[in-house]
Amino acid sequence: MKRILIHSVLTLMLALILGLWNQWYTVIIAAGFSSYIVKLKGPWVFFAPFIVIGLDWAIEAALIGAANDFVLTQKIGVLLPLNGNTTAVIAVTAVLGGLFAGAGSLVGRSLRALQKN
Amino acid sequence: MKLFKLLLSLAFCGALFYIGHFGLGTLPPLGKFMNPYSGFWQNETTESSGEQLALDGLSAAVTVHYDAQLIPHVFAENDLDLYRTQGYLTAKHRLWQMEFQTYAAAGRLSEIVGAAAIEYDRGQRRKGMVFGAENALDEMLKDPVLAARIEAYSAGVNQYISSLEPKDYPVEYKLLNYAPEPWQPLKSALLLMYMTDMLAGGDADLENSNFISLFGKETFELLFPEFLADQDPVIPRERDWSDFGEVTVPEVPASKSGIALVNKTLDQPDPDNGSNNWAVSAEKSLNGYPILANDPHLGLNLPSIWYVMQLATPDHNVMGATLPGALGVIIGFNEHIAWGVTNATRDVKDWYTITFTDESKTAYVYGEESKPINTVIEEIKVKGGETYLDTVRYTHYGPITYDESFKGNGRDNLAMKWIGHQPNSNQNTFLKLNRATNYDAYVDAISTYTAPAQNFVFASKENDIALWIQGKIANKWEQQGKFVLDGSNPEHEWQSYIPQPHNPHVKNPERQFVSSANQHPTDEAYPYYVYDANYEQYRNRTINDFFRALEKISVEDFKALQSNNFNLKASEALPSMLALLEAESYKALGSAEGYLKTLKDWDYSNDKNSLGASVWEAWWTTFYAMTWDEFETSEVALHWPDSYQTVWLLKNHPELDFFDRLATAEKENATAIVKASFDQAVKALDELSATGASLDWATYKGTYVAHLLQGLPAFSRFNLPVGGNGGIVNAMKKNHGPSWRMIVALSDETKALGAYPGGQSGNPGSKHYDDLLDRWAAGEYYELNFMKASEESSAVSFSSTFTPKN
Repeated sequence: MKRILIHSVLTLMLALILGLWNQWYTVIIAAGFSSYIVKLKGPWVFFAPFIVIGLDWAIEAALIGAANDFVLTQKIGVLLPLNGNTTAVIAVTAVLGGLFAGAGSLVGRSLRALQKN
Repeated sequence: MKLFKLLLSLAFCGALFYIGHFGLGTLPPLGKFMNPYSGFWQNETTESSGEQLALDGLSAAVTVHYDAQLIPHVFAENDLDLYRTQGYLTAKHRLWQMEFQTYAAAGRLSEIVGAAAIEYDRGQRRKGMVFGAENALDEMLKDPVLAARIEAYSAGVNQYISSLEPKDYPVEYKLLNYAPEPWQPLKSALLLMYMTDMLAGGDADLENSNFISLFGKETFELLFPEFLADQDPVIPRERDWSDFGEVTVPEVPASKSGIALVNKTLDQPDPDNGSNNWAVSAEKSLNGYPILANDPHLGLNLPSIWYVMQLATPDHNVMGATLPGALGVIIGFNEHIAWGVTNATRDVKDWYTITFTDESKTAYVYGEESKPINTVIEEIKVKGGETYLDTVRYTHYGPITYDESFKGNGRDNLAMKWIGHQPNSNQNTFLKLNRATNYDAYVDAISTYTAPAQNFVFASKENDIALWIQGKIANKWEQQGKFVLDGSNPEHEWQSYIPQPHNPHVKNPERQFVSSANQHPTDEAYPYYVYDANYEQYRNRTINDFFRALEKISVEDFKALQSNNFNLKASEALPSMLALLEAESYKALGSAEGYLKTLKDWDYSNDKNSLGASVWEAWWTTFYAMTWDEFETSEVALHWPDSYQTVWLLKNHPELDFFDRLATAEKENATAIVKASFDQAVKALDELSATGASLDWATYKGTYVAHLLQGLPAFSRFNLPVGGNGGIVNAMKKNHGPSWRMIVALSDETKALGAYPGGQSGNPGSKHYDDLLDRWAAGEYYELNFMKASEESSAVSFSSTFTPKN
């Protein structure tokens, strides 16, 4: 559990720092690096960064949206199409962030395993 | 095994990265687009505060006050600072739109949307859109004052673009995964070409030639007369043209051109691209000062085609509708005058058959000699595909648009001669109008204007009202260019232009008002040849009848007229159609009986709640389509007769062959078509009604304002509660109508009202994206806060200050 916590904090911190470059894929790098440094086991390799980055993206999106009455979120909800449902747009945002981070984490973990061989 | 796991995880991660960064099929790049730190979420914002910014190249501080509608009121110390700031602010609020429109003009949409746009882009290149823009820019840059202004505007746009990081890009860039490129003065010229193409890019010459080949000249004259007896031309019939003295009109040459039938022509601009404008004199005005109004009818799009601004220096102060990409105010007012425009439709695009001297296609026959071809290889870059190369050959007339590789009849070479290609300084006309203080300055401003020809309405505080039909118009022989011309015959050239002072105009007419609505400019007495395939026949009479009926006119009357839903066409056609229906002892059964009663009780007003309007429009459109089914099924390009002539034929030639339906064995006449179309309309209305849909006119019509990007539903607005229709003063069609409504009262303190279907911000995430739309739909207006100086006023919501950069 402790490793999961450390991993999560590291992933989030790295994501926020690397995020200053404004490149979306820094979440992949952050999660990958964390999994290379901190060893996680089983499904947590994927789900720990999935949850932490998913939450990060969801909270940030919700805050931005709420500050502008979800004017654009609702329109993107029509575009995707999610029937204009703003919660669904936030959920999709979160899942995507989680997927990218989870995928990065799997690479970091595999690299670690290979090098520790 | 571990290596395998690594490779597997890399593949999984790589696939996600690809989809996240580049997108897949129609999917946007999901990572880029959806992440909250740089994706669309960053566009979830409304403009609510000003900025303090140092701008490159400014020579003094510029103050910008925004009012509640996000209209910027710009106060600069000199003209160059003013246009630099205009460029910056326009880009700030409309960057994607202004760039997209110039991509469209230049035939570069394939770079953004991929191979689907190649045919469109080829059409734009083959129309010579860039050729025309370059000619215009060359001319504009000859004037050092204008050149400096255009450069300043361009620099202002670029300063905004260079301030952006990808996370700041307008959401459309993120959706389509591309980035803005630097602005150039050429893009301002391209934007003006975009408008010229929209307003003066249509013609029916090839279609007319086709018609004569199929049906003969006599039928052509019957279906497409040049003058209609009861029309009310822009210049009142009372106008005596004798002051022109003896005018010279070219002789009709002996030989005419022949051509095989043309199957496919370029898409035509909407024939209803037009407008209303009018002004009343101080004498006819209830309050004793001139009043002027204008409402240009264009495609209803978001972001709106117009962007409202006030632009002031110590030397002039002007406000009104600007076009993102062009300098100054296009339709507006200053402290002395007001002006507006409607399209002065005229056949300014002609087609010439070209005969190459040999197969090398490097020269073509011209009289006894030959002329060289200038070959241009157009490179159309395609997103996600290979660059498409298209060879376009230029003659001295203009580009060969149609040849064996592009539309036309797959054989003949047809070159376009278009006023839009000619060098011009039309941008300057508007900058001069912005500064005009009286009638003479107005005439001076418009006198060099070439295209798209406009009916420039004018009113001043010196109590002058006027209307000039201004454009550079070829002085043609009778029917020259109405049909295809022979490019090898020098006699078929445009030989001269109508002298500018002879362009039709009227100042302070006895009737105390001037107006235009895209109708015929003059009566038959005007000494030059006038032709266009799309003159308007209804709005003009409704407007002029309105003014004649009222002794005094107020601003409230102006508002009522802009929202006037009287359907003159229906009032002229419906009684005859009902009479024909009843003459047949028509037994209306079921719902038909109700619809018939509704029509009989209808007041000919296309009000939004009217059922009669829906029944009429359903019946009329069915009747029109049944009558002209020969046009629908034709394999060659044809121009359809207009509504007015259709009604006239119904009343005067009910046995005309065209009333026979091709799809039936029996021979129909007008009466039979009236009945058959009514039955079909009733059936369609019943089917619609059975779905639970309301049949009130606004719902039936379903007016919408479409996002520029192929009407992307998420960024569009649908089912607006509006009445009106084409041919009605309130020209609100399904996706076309009054794109800007302006009323200016030239009292001591100029008072102006405005409304338009959109909002100042081009950002779909902004509350100002469409916040003006609902009041526009309701026929309401915003007071345009014409500020006198840069001091704060109660109308200011927030302000920005731009200072020179050291």
